Amino acid sequence: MTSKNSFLVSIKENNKRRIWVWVISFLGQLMLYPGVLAVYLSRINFRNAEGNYKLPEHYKIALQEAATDALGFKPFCMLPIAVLGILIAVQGFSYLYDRKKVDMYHSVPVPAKRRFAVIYVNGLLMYVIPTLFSILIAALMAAMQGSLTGRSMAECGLAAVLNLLYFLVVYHTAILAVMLTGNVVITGFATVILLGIVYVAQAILLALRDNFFDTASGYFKGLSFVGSIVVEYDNKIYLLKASALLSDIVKTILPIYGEWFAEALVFGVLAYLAYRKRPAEAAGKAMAFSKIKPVVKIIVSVVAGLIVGWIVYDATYYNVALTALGMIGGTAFCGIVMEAIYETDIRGAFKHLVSTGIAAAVAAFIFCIFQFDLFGYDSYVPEAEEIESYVLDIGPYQNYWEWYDEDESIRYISDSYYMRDNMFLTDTDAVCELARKSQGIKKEEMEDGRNVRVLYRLKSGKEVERLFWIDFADASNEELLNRIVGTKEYRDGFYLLANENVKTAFNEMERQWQVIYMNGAIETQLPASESGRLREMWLKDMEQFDFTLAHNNRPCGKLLWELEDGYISVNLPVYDSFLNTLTVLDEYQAYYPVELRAEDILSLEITNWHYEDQEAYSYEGGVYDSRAVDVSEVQHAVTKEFTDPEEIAQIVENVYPDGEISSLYWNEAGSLDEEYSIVVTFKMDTDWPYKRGYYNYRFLKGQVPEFVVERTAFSAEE
Amino acid sequence: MIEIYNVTKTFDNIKAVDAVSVVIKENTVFGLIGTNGAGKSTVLRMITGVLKPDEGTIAIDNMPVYDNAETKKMMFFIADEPYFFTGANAETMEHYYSSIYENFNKEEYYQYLKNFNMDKRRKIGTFSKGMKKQLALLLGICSHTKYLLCDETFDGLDPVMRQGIKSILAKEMEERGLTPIIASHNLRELEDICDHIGLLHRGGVLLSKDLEDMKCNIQKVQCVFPSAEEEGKALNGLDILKKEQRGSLCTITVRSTKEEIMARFATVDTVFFEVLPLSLEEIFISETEVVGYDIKKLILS
Repeated sequence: MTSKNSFLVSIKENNKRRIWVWVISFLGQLMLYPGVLAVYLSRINFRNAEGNYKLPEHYKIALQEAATDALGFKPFCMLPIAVLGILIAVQGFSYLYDRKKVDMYHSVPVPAKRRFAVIYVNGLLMYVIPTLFSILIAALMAAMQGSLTGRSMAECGLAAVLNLLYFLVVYHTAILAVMLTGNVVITGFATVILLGIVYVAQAILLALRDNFFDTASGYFKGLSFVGSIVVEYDNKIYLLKASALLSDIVKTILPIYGEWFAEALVFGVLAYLAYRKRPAEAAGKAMAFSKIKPVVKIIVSVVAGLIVGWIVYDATYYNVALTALGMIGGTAFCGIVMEAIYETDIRGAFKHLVSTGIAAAVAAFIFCIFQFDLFGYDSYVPEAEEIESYVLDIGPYQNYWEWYDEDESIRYISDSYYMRDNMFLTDTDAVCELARKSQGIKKEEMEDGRNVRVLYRLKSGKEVERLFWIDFADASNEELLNRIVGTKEYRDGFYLLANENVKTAFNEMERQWQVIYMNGAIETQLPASESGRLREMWLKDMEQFDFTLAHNNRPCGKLLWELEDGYISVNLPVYDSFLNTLTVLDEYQAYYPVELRAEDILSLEITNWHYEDQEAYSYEGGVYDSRAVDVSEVQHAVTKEFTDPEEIAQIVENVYPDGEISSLYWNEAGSLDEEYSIVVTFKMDTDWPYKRGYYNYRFLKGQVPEFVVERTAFSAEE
Repeated sequence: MIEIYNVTKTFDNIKAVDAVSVVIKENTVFGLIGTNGAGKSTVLRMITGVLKPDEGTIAIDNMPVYDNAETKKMMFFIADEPYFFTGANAETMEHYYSSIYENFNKEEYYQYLKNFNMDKRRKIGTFSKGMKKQLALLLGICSHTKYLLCDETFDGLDPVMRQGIKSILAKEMEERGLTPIIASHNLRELEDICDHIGLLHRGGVLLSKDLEDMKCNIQKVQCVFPSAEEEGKALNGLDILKKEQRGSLCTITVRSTKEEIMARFATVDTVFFEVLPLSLEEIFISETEVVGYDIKKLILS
């Protein structure tokens, strides 16, 4: 039994005026669950009828996967749920836009808290009830097909909670937008701004940072955005979809859920407070709270100005003056437009020019921060004693690694993130000296300038990331680099297989590993049982590894560790001085010199690409102009075949395998000549086990024989 | 009792209500009169707790009203353009208000609908402006609140309906002590209904008085004196607000009670004299002229 003015009666009364939203919500959710499942099942049944499934089990698995996909995490839910959240919020509280309605609702004896709660709870029910109903229908459909599994039910539950949290964030944001504004159009703008302004502002500021500061780097820490739930929805869905549901609850699922719950809570509380404070006379106005009008105007105008500035910067090919003009002008223009919106009168555009001026000044200041580096971003080098430890990415790229958890599940990790988590270098004096030496020196002035990325972990707990240049050819840097690179902490942080922390996992996985030694033209697979010993020997040899070794010596080959399915691979350099490794390789007749034997070669096909001709067509600065000649169309490449043994012998003295082995060499100055590529064809009757096919080699820089240059010269007549 | 003390409300730097102080006694019909933009609606919206005063206080039976549902239980507000739900009919509106006002009398409501020949199932959207106001009044009356606030509600009602509503208000006042507060821009609308009048002009109160007091304290006298000497004797010392002379007929408006006038004129020799009743309009003209306003321009035009 309910009293006359009970909550349930109020809910019922409120619902009478929101029936159409209920209908839309039901239709939407029915399409998202039973509708999607019906589509998936129909496709599978069609394929089955076509005989695409070889075994009945395959058909059953397909049905189960369809049920999981339809009931679980679905990226395309992002838009309909967001639309539903905004619709429910705006419709529920839209009475605040209309003075007549406000007069009625606010004069009747219903406490404000109760009124908010009734509309809010009804809105929530409008989402929850149709969702549960639709899930139930879809689950029954899946069960009738025999495709409902524990996995699909678990994913369904987790997805439903995630979607609810997502809905709540959007719903609360839209309610807040209603409270801050006085009509539906402005509410729409406000919702978009609230959901995206932080994200957009961050993205533009980061883009400006990366383009204006020479030392900017987002390599280790990546981009950490806040307030971007709509943008992030897809990423989170894929992350959750890939996770092992139960084991990843603490590591993956709860943090995401917690983050979204916190976001929903913050927006919800703000929405409620704004509701309580909102004056009734705000109905019909652009903004409900006059005090925040200038603040909102300044923030939105500055962000709009940043966007305009960035567009101009990009469109004008980095014209700084026009960028400044675009940024400041865009801000001022947006301020004027906002004032016209506030006044709902174009003639009001030039009112409150002070706040417009402040916004333009803020935009100008932001531009100056980047253009003139007002806060010394590029000159920042911490004191050595301030640094707890640091990460230095100095070596060649390692592709992507995978990491093994305690539960042996595979986790994707890039080399930068691996280093971030596992490299703890402590020679802080060395890195600070290298960083300071790089100040004021242009990379063009360096003989072999390399950009390195450093992540300082400061004792204060702060982490600071920078990029700077080191001249590898500068002998004075060698000692400093050896102090960093020639340490176990560097090897552990850089080479996955050198890390003792993964040794246990590695050993447990040993049988699944394949180890291949390759020197460019010959690949030898070693017994899986030897992978552990080979690793130990390689690690032993790596004790001699330092910058001098990596800089002055080309690897004679590389060890490729990969899982049997080839899904994960790790490349390790092998040098001539790695005697322990070479001994094991010799035992299995896997080691062959990297140098080619001329007598084994049938022919060499050498192409001179004549890139210098392409460069000649692009104007200074290397910026492509669509109205100019399309440089990619400039093809002056000349290919010649060399079969004369003497010429072959002369050529092979100066070549080195291209690709992964050459990329392990730390010497840019002594690297390979990109102008020429060499395809080697071996004879059939060699005693070295060349793999048949083509092998790409390149000349060592400056070592191209004269006769090759002459014969591959470009002639327009040809 | 509704006590409004020094209440001010500003919209976008425009003072809609400026330091208004009024007391509305229970069981009287209070008329709030003023031109468009005088602040009548704003005052009513503040009394009903829709708007929060920037300054000053409003107490309904000694309780604050803004954000106070308990106080609002005593009030029903009929706005100048009453809002009805989209697609609603008289029955739908009854369901809503009866779910909110504990004392809503459904039987009475449907009886009134019947008496006024209104179809409870007819969509309100098809009602005329007058019918909508009529319905809003019936809803307000049947909610059985102590105070009924009407903003321009009687404007546009036909005379029969107006009379009918007046009768109901009188009955409700008698039976349960209803206190109607009626805002209008037209003095004639209120003349036969109100006991007390508050005159608003440019956000401030020009005057607030009981009609009876006003009527008792201002008299219109038509007289003919035999001589100037007698006229001087009769009028000397009287608080004369207005004097008109047409031939020998002298018409004066005097601030005094009827008894005092009668007593004074009994002592002088007159050819003819008569104390006439004043219309509300005449009283207002007289009262406001004193303070320098031309009331005709304000509320009678």
